[in-house]
Amino acid sequence: MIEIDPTPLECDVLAAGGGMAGLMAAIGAARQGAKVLVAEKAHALRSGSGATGNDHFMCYIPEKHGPDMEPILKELLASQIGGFHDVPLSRKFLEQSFDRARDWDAWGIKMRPTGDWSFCGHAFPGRPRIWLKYAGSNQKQALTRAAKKLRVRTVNHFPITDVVVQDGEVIGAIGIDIRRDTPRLRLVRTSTVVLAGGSALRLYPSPAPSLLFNTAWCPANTGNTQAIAYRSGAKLVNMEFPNLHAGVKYLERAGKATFIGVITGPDGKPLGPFITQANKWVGDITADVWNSVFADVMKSGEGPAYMDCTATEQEDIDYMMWGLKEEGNTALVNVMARENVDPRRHRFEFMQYQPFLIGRGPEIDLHGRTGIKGLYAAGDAVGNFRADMAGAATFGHIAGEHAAKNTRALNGGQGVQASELLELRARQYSAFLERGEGAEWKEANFMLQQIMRDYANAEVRSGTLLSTGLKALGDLKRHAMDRVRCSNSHELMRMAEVMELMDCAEAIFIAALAREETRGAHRRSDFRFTNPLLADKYLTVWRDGERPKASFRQRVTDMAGYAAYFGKVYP
Amino acid sequence: MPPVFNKYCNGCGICAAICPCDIISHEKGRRVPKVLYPDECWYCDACVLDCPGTEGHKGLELRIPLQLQLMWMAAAAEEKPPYDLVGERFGNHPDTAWDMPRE
Repeated sequence: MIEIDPTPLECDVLAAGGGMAGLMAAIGAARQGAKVLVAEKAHALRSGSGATGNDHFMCYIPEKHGPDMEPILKELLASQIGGFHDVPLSRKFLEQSFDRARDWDAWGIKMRPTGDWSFCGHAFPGRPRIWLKYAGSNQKQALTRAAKKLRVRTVNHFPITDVVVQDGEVIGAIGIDIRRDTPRLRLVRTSTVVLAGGSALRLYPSPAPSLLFNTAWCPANTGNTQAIAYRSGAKLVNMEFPNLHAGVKYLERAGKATFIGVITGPDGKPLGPFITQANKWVGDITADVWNSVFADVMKSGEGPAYMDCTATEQEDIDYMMWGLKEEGNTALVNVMARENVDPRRHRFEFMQYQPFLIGRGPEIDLHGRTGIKGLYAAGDAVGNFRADMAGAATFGHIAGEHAAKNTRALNGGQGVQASELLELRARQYSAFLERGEGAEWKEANFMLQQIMRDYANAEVRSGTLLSTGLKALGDLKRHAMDRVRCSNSHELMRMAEVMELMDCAEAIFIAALAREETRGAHRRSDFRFTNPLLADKYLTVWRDGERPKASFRQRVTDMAGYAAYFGKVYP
Repeated sequence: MPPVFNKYCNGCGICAAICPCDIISHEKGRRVPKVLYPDECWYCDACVLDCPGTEGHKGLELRIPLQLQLMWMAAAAEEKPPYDLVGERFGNHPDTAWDMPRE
């Protein structure tokens, strides 16, 4: 049997994940005087999607935008990340975003690289600019340092794989200690957990099929938060909508908007109506609003489409290259240098990547709580609010703060050590480790990608395709549990990730089946129309025991709506 | 494959500790770390960025696999076909168009 550390770690607030949201949750909680533990799968200095940097921080700064927040809120909701917001959350975010930007500034992240707060990129010509341009290459070091100063304890190489819920309340968490070759289970005794596992990559195939980890966001983010929330009975929302991103061909990278250029066809003519020349203030927003432009022109034969920076002034190119470095794209910058690719002479082919989960996942209330007592979620995994880096900062902090103020004494019950879930995981993990022969975790991951690509893609879905995919997923789950073998800590961690991905996939299939209409990139060939009655309806999915449930609810636009929904559901 | 160590590696093992994908192993007493899971590289460059190296040089560099080479083209695309046509001409290209003879 896999070894279980007999002494659980103890804390008031556990941040499950040491990325931007997890560290900000830890800081928010520690500022309230709580005893905080960050459990991180890799190393908090360089983990998660913000590992090597970022350069855009959605932010409302009254002294820059004026005293009226409404135009900024409107711009946020109309932006590429604004599609699935419960609006009271967006308001709270905007109100606190500048505080967090100032925190980061004070901790040594260059939030004002030009000396002043300045907004550029992702902007429509003539509209308010809401993305604060910052230089975040040192952001993880800065946050790790700030957390340490507040006496936050970080345990690296310790992925949390489950949260233990008893009688509807969090009593602890289970993780795998992967520091040594032989894994062991470690427990955390805590009444509050902030899930901060980030997005879910590796669900759909990479543009280079042989390279599973060639992803724009961090490939070690595998829907940990969504899966744990789902297993715990919390509600996931907006799972049916594929999120698509575009960027450099084959080498999948984030940061499309950092390129200061025009999106053109092979003839060099712009494909969108917005601009014919880009500068650092206003880039080409075509791909933000015509999300599928790169795929569309390939399918129609008019492509490929290019990011064309050849008309951009040298000064702006220098600024762009600096931006690419600061957002963590140094690998790409180095390849460009090595291959003598010059943005003023050469155009880059761009492509649309396969979907991944971001801004789809557990729904949270204004305090970052899921519907399970003591269980919070923050960052890229949240399903009813999204603001990427700034969202992780702001709602991470909010969740940590609230969790710290709402810890409970854990006296009753037998605790996490005696939980059925621990027994189940110990049995499953031991089976993986003790099997002499068997399948590799990768086989399961690749099969999952095949199923998602063919039965839950962003091109066509239908009742028959989705049902077939769901059945195949069930078979895969069973086979994987019965046949996969892991020979060490690393492989067990990867297999636990595949288990998370499979749970995310289940939620996607259930939600996609239940939304019987076509909307955005959720295209049902058996329901080709967009149903106006579902326009402001969010679909939630959750598990009640082993049985998945799905339910539509009204999108929350104001505090009355908030009280009507969250007031009842989130006591 | 991905991170490739060179003679400037000082054997400190920082790269192994901070890799977001846990692909590098560094055992005590072993000078140069070993890339155990090269195909799980994210190409994030964290190992290179954090490498102290020696003599001002990084102790490793990232090798990007051939599958991920950049797809770029010169601003002015070639107008001429990239081949010489030998023999009869068919098709729509202005240089090579061929009209159906009428009875």
